[in-house]
Amino acid sequence: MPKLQAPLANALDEPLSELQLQRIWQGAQSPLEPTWKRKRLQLTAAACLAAAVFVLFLLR
Amino acid sequence: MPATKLRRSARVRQPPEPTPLAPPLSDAVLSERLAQGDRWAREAVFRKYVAAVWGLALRLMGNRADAEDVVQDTFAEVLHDARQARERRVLRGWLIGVAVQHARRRLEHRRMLRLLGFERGDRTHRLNEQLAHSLDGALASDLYKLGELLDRMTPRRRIAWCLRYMEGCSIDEVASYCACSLATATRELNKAHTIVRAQLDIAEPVDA
Repeated sequence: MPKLQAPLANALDEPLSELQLQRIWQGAQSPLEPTWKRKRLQLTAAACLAAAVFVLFLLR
Repeated sequence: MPATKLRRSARVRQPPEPTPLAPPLSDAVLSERLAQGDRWAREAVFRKYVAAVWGLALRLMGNRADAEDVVQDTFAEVLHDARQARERRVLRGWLIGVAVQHARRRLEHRRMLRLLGFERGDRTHRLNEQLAHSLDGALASDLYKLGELLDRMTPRRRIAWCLRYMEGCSIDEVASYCACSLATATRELNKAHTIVRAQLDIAEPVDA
């Protein structure tokens, strides 16, 4: 069995294309979504899921 | 001699002076200018470190789409919190730390989806498998197996192993980037390496 060399960085590497570079740069420029907004979304999703489970329980 | 010919020959005799390349700015200067909100410094930091962050993200995530998201989130966070740059003089370490946090978050999300049975059926996105197709023999088989083994590990263990054995980080750096104690990092590394060594023969990293 051959010995995988450490670091394996060279084996698992590929250059970044100019298109990817542009896409990442443009994405990185956009403002981050505030954490509270993300939290509120997660809470809403959890509440909807709980409500759906409750309705299913009532219908059973 | 006509004037046009004279002008043309003058142009040939006097080639344009090569523009001297500006020496690359140090992290200290870049972080200072970044903290001041300099737009040029933002792009300079991006250009300087994007390849390094991309390589790291690609190896941590194992596929291009997730790696691209990790790189984008990393730079979005770092450029957004540019005021912190003044305190963090070593931009590379800061970027790697942020990238590792984002990679871990995505790996946990991916693991949760897999546990709930929502894993994508398409396996062709995996980098290890794509590389295994392009290589021959036992190395291809090892790379394929390595991808399988890493996918089965917990995100923290996977990241710790990748940082140590793929990136060549020291154990101190692994602990720092994973935001855990040295003992936890060592324990995670030992567990991960036991799993990998059972299947593959991996050369031990040499600490600098």
